[in-house]
Amino acid sequence: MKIDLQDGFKNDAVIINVNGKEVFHKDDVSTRFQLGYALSVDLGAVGNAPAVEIILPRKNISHTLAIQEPEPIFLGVSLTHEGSIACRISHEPFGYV
Amino acid sequence: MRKEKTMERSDSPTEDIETLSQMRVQKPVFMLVSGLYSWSNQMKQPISYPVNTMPGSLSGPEMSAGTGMELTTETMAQAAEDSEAELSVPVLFQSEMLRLDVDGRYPQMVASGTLSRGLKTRVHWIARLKSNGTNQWKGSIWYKDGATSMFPYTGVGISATRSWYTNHRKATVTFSGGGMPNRTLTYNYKSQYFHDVEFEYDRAEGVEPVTEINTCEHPNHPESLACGPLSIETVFRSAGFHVKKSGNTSIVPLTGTGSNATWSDMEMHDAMQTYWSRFDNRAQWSMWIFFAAMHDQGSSLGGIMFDDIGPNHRQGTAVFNNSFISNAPSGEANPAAWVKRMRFWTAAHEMGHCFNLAHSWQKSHPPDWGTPWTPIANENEARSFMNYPYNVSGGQSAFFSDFEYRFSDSELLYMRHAPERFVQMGNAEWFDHHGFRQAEVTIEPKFRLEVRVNRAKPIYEFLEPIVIEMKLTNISSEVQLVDSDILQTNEKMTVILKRQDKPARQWTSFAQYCQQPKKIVLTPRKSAEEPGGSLYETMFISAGRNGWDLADPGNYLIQIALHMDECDIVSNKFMLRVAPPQNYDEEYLAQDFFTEDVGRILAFDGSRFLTSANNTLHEVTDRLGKRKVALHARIALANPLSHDYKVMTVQEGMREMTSASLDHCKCKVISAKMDTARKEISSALMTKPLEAVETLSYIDYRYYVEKFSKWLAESGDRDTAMKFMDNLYRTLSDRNVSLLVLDEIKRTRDGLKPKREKAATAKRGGRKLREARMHA
Repeated sequence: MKIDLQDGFKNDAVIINVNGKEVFHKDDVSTRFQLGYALSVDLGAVGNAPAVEIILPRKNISHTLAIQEPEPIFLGVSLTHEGSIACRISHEPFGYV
Repeated sequence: MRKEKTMERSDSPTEDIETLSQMRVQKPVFMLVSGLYSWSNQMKQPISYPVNTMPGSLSGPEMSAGTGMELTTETMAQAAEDSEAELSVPVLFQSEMLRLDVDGRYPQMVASGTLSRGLKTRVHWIARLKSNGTNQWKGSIWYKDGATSMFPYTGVGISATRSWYTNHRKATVTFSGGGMPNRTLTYNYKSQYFHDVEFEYDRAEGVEPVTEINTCEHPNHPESLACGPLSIETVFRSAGFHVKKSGNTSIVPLTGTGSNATWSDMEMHDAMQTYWSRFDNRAQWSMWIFFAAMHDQGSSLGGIMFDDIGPNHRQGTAVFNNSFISNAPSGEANPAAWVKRMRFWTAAHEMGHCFNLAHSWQKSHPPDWGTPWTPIANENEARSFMNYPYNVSGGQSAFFSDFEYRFSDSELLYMRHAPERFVQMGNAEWFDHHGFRQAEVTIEPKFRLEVRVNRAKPIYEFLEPIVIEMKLTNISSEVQLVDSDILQTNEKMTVILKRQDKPARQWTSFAQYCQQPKKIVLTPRKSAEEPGGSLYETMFISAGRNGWDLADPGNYLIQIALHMDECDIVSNKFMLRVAPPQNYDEEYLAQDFFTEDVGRILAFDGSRFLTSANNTLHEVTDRLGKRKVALHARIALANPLSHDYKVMTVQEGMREMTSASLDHCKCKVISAKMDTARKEISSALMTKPLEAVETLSYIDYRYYVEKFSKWLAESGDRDTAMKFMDNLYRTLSDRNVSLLVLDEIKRTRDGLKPKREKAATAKRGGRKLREARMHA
């Protein structure tokens, strides 16, 4: 599974847990708005139906989703302009221009 | 998901004869009036504003849009020829540009203009137009930028002269409204395009750029799309730009990539400085487009506007031919055509970023992402170069089946008519002023929104929290229903704050409220002198989720757009000033005062939890007791002391909660401190009531006094409560507040009296009424 942090991040701390275990933590994630993309996290194989939790501790928001899709999984995570976390799943890599 | 249709086939084919060879030209060039016009006065003579230039209008109504006064070619021409009158403004040099956008390719039904006076003074305006007869349009000016004090007009009427000969084409514009006499100018046609722009295409070794395609080479396209060659230059000509190529092309050697043959942003920036023949650290209508194989990021990056560093952004952009854009989907029957189309699309997309266009889904965003002029509605399903084809419903196949190789109307509006510095390459920073939504204003609005403050001069002490008053008035001749909370909720309005010479910022409140919808009635206007009913509300505007936007000394502009069901109502542009600090104490305390916690305490009228911020407010009352900020601090400190206060306590050291009950959280009740509250509130509201009214606003002062009076009465201290209310009545009466409001205050005061006294008053009031009727 590969997770792309996409739109809406601005100097945000981001934590990603998969099946309860922290797999990613960065304190300063920012989107390049001309791409709608911040960074990618390549998690390799994650097994069946992983539970993915995205946490923004400074904004006090989080989002959990149980992924029922077969691999390969490309998960796009964005912050909406209302301040919530939105996710979308693809079976192909996301492209940015 | 239903596809949003954001574009209308409103254009008529144009003079781009090299573009779409099979397109029928429906209107030859000489029949079009859209384009760029100019007026200048280089003579050292007074510029005059004709007074009463309209026939029969010696002291009549202004010729503003919607007044019903007819604009005819004859009257406007006559107005232009009338001799100058009393009002003259001597100037050294003046020129004006007009961009008329009413026909031709994707007309936006807009006029915009830039007025230049001297070397630095500029005003930019934009008006939405409706047809007002043959070759005539009129509309309201909904946008102004720059030295707007020299341009008070609110409406335009335009008459255009069509001709075979470009030097015979003219546009006569009459500006009206704003309390000024009408002003009429005749502009001379300059060009069918709105701006010039130059492109330079360079490529890396071994890369072939795609700057032209055949629109029907891939069979997935709209049926109505004209088939033929389409170049990138033509795309931008259709957007209104006179496109030239620099005539220089370079092949950039791969040594520029270092050892890995892929390009980093910095390497591309270096290449731009070396190989772009126009490179300069200044704003110019010119850009560099670099075609390369791959970025350091890999195949997931198809292109990038890399120039977001340095003093001048958006001068260069790149396309990566060997990225994912060259991988046709599996099963694609025409892979070569698909790839060519994607490379072409990517190039136009990246170039759109150089014009400061954001992605279609990024136009509406919180202020900390960047600074739009006004927020724009997202266009998630737009068939625009600025949308990702694979993001729309149905994916890239659905996108291209309905894509006409164009930008959306809101993007065209921006590119053609926004102030030049927002769009021009190397000027406004990337994502700053990246676009604006045309507020959906009507020519004949039913409402007027006024932003104001209750003081003679809008000058605020340093640290003084700023409270503005909003007044929404029904100016139509019909009863209007509005939501009772329309001025209370941030969701229904856009509040823009702009410090002089700084980017605009959007204010957002700390809280969002969900209220049960309720309509109220605003009575209709009876006459010009008797406007209709109004709704009032205040707003603490110094701080919000975006931080303290009105903290630093300086001049600020505030403007609000209210989003109603049918249209937007845009307020007046309100200017205020924040004075510099008067002493060391103010500067010192500012460091602790301008924090989110203090902002929250002031916004929510107090807290017993935010201890550190409360300590700061105590220090403010101690050290700056005579300053207006201390008054606000006293109210915020006293309010939570006036009643028992619930606080939820959590375990020490806990980082992550699951639920309050599972984590053994408790609700603690902290007792009220009535005496302290009474003392602070009296000091804040009663010691200097005129000062309190001025800094809190009439509405909030009344709110606080009535609230604390009721509290005092319920606590048993009716005498003090009555004194508060008497003081309120006197103070607002001295400020000439309306009799209706004073009457309400009197009734509230009477409602605080003991029951026996209330009955006696009612009896006296009833007897007086009967006596009045007897003598009627």
